[in-house]
Amino acid sequence: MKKDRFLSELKDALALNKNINMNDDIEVDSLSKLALIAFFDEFFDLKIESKDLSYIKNVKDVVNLIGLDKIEE
Amino acid sequence: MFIKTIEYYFPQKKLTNIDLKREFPEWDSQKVDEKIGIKSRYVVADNETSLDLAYNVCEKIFKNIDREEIDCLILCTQSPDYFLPSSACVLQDRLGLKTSVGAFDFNLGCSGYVYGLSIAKGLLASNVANKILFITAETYTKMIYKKDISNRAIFGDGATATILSAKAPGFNIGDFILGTDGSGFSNLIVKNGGFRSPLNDNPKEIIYGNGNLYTDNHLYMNGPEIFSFTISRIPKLVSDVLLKNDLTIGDIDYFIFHQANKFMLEYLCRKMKISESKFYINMKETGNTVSNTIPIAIKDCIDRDVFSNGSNIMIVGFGVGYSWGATILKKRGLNEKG
Repeated sequence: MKKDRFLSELKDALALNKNINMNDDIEVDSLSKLALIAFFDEFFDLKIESKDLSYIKNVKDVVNLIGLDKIEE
Repeated sequence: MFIKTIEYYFPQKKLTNIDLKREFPEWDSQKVDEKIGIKSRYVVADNETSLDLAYNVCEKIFKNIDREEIDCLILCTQSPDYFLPSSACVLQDRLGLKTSVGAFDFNLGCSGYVYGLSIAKGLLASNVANKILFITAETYTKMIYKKDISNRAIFGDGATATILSAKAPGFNIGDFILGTDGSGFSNLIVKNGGFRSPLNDNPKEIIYGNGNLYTDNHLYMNGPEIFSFTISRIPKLVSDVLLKNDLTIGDIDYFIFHQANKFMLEYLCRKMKISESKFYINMKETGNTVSNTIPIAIKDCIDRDVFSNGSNIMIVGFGVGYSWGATILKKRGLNEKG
């Protein structure tokens, strides 16, 4: 997935009000955990364990779970 | 084998998001309202139990059904009045049903209604029973820790009664797919109170999620894991039950899934490319009532005249266990075939 689309889809999934970039922090509450699980499933066919979601503090953590090779410049 | 009629019953006390917000000022009630789709839920009083709810819903259904005709009583609950005897036995006497009635409980949660229909169908097909009273009754709110805002916002109490017989008219019950994966048992559990782990007199508070609190004497739900299980398991369940009933997704007129939460249902609907107009979502006033949600939804659709003769309705239950099940109901008039 292209980086721009990834950032846009992630922003929509987390229902954020402003655009995000790769270096931004994100707040992950219980509802956004569900949103992230759906995001990983819908766009990357990935099943993520809930304990892995606890480590997500920023956009880069999301990319690390997906795999850097899945995001194109 | 047919569903003849359905009734539901809720306790009197209603707990709204406004009530919860008063107790938890930091809690984002608007988000729960919008994303989870719940504004209020019914909650039993301290001296009210699942058996009381079951009794009340049965008296409601007996306004139109002769209780003398019932020859089997099946009750699905995970919040029984006693370890023993089963609630169904107590209920037989309280309802004044004849003593030739076969009566038993079974313990399942959100898949319970589908499982109960499969048991009832088997009993009717084997001529063990001719008219079955199948009840779902749950008081999950009794098992939730007072400070656990997350689960208090989701679950509500209630009971339903379904009458089943071998004769049309009604909703013909199709073939079933059932399934289980006990590896997920600890993700939705009340750990203490049974014989493996007795109730603790002084249980410690445990933090989970975003500052939620529970104790091992109370209900714990790992929401993300349950969500993950559901979105990976249910699409296959849907395709398997279609195949077993020799139908395609286009043959289904209406989809009624267990009403877990709006976010989960909307995602499943999108993932399986089901038209929103055919997909039931409504738990705004009741919350997640566990095994009650599917019969409540069917009754709601009957009352709103959603189904026509010949309509195919898929029902899908899933949750605690993990346990899941699905079947197809077909609305049939007295003289129709099929």
